[in-house]
Amino acid sequence: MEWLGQLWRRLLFPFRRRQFERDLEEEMRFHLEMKARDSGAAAARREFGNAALLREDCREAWGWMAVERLAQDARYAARMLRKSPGFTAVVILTLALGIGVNTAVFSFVDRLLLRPLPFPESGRLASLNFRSTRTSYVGDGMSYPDYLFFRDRNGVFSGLAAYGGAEVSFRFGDRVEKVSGELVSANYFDVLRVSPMLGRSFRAEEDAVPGRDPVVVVGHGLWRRRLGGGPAIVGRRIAIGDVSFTVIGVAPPGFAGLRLDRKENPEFWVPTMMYPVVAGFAAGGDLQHYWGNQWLSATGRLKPGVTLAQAEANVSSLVEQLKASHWRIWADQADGPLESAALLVPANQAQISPGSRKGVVTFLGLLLTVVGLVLLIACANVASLMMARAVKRRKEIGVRLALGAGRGRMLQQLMTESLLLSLAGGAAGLGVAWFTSQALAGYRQPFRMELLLETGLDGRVLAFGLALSILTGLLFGIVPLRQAFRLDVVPALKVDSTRRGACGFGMRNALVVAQVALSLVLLVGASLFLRTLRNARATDVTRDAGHVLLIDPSLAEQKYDVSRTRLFYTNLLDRVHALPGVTRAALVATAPTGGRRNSMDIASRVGGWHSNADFNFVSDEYFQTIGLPLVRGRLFNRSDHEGAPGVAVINEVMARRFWPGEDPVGKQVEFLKPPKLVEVVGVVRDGRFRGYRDTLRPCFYVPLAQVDGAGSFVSYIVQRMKLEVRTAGDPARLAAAIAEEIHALDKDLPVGPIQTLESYRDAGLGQERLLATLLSSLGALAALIAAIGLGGVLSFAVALRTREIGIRMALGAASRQVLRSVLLDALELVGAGIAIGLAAALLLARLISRLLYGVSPTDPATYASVAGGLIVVGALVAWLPALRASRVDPVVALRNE
Amino acid sequence: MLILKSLARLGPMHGYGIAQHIQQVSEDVLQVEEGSLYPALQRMLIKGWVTAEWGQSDNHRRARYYRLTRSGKKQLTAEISEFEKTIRAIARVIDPA
Repeated sequence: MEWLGQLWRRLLFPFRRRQFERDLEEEMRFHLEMKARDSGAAAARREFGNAALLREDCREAWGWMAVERLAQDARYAARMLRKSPGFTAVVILTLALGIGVNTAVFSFVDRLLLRPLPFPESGRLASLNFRSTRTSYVGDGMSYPDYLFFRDRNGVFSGLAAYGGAEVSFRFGDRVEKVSGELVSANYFDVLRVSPMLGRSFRAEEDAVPGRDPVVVVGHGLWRRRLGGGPAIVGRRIAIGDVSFTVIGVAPPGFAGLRLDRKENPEFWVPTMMYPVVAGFAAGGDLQHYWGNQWLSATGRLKPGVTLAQAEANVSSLVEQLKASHWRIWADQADGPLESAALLVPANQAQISPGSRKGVVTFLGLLLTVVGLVLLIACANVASLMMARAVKRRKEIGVRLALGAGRGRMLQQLMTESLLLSLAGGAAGLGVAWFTSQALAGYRQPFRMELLLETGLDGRVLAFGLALSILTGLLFGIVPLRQAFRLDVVPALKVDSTRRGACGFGMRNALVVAQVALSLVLLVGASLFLRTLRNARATDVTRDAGHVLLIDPSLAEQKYDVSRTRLFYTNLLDRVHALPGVTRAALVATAPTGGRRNSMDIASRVGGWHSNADFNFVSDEYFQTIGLPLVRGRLFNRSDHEGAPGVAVINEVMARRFWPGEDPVGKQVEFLKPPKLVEVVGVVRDGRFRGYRDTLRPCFYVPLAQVDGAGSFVSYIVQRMKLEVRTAGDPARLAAAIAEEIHALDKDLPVGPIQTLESYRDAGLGQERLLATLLSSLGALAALIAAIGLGGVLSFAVALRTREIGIRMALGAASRQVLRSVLLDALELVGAGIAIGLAAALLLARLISRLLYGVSPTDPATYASVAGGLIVVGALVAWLPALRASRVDPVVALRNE
Repeated sequence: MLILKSLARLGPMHGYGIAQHIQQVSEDVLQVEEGSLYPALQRMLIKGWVTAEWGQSDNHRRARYYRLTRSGKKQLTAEISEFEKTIRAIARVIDPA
């Protein structure tokens, strides 16, 4: 108990502070008086010694001195910083940029790679994947019977849940909205250990018979946004598509399933057996018993004591059983399930599918490296500024040392100043971080896949920012400290103290060299990615893509059968053509750079070959709409209607592959499934439809009017045709008019976002654009900082050398020679930086070669131009101090003493 | 220990009195410096071995009187026994008769 009283008395001390000082003061006075009475005033004072020290010792006994000193130091530091607002502003701004971009990138790293799923014991959840034994492919798709097989025969999971994505139209009153959701097994919520906020989750019998139990758990966001947010929602009926569902529960806030690699958060959950209503891909099939449609993913909770490796061994044995039995249906598929092996991944790491995760890690790693470099440059710059300041403050520090300040105490004081600066920089950096993360999220697909990028600065990110600020403060604070330690009191106090300022000069030079090197690395990266972006854009065949609108009417509703779809498209094209400002309009199955392609087996009886080629369905004005030039023959026209002889237009690759040296126009091609004979009527330029890295494959176009809509695969494609409209004026003004025309035909169609082909293409180039923009802006910033640093060092050096230059000139040196010597000094620094930077860039470029396109990572022109640019900048920056040096008046310089 | 003992012997006493007492009793061998005395008193205040209050001195001046508390007395006994043990040990080493 004694320590408690002690603690109490200590804690009270700050509040009794004044009383304490008064008491101590009076006690000392009394003591002195008594002593003076006994042994004389002089002797008393002499014997009493240092009263101030005694008081400090007494105060120190209470253990509050550290805090008090800190507060004192902080006050002093704040005062010093206020006294030089320019310096403070530059430092805080530099740090804010450095810390801000790092914090922003970290927020994505944290969200995508580090943060665990917000479920109890999420570390015990394992996601079931299959890796190819031949290639690096990893997938997690399985059919419903597959899932049942794993669920019922494994010995390692206390529960195995399945889920698959779905997108449906919700009807709220008179408006329709597309909502993403999931089809889940009945045990889904139990396995994740998530309880609905309201109502209940699914019962096993509700997931037993296809289409029988229309029950739904809605997401918290959907409930608040569209369903009133009241507790009466449980038991209410809502319309999904054409079917009425009963709401049985509301998921807790923030619950968004197991995955991050989705376009949108799931906002509703229905039993897997509701697939006939919810899953567009089901198309009347019996998914309950069909082994060939891998539409589900599975995640299980490991039984207590079971390790991941044990579970994987167990699942592997099940996979072998499947390969020997049901998976024989995949026998003719190359690299299919028969050549795969089980791979269990902790669900926390499977939030992004294991196949794509590597790419995300590479990309974020690159991003972290880049912003880390920027922070280093910022630190170097601040350290350099601090050193210049330390030189100016030598006298102050000297005085304080002479007055008996301990070196440790001075060190604490200077560190406090650094930390104060870095914390202020960190605080300002939060603004930068917010802005940067918004900008990053604006690049919709930086990872070449759908990914949920939520921005926000939560506690973890703030903690990272704080830690980074402190680390930064220590980093740039320590460099100038060396000077304070080496400082001799006597010379520092002498009048001519600036002359000795050369101490620490080598360090500043080194910092400038480092800055030049780092900015070279960033600029080389920037120019490599700018070239990549330009090359990637150049692969797009669309002429003047900024004037072509892309609209997705998505007729993926059940009421649109083949004939109604046709009718809709004909009406739509007529209406759109009639709009003023529309020059061309067409429908296409696969838009350029759309990331997808469809292929078909074809043959030629005459040529005797049998092969496979990509195909695309287009309406007759398509080629004119995007501006794909005709090479020979003719394009489609109105006469290529349903009853007319079948025709096709092919690309150049197909012409060269199948009719080398011949004219393909007039030749015949046979489609195998469904069988059909068509005649080639024209050849058009090649276009990359899947993405700029796609290899050019043989490709043919079929007029939409002649597409035989019998097969479910073909009708699936036909229902999802895109409308492309070339406009004469501002395309944005036509967007609303087109949406109106669509709604005039069917007011229930949820028209997706309308954008130009240019922005559609650029959305697909998110990663390239992000890297190019980020690296060039950061590279320019780094070069600017380095230039300021170089200018500072040179001016400083010239100021220090004034006397020396004066003597030289008095001895006959021409001002031209002086000018040259300063310029040479500058180029020496820049040259050293460039040499180091080139070496580093060559090393780093090899790591990013996978991300480049059409440009070699060691492209000599890139390196040479960046290095040349930096030399020019260096010379320009050096010009001013050099000029000043050459104009030194020897008489004035020598009198200066 | 010396401060505690002085307080035990004299009752409540101010800092100067304690210093004087120790000096007199030890016949000027032990001189207590103010620089050590007052911080030591502060530490004892924190530990709760003594309490302090303002009172009238012999010459009618306000002075701060320190008073031994119960835990202070316990501490004193403990320290004296510890000290005596040490002294006896040293004595045996010096004079191993």
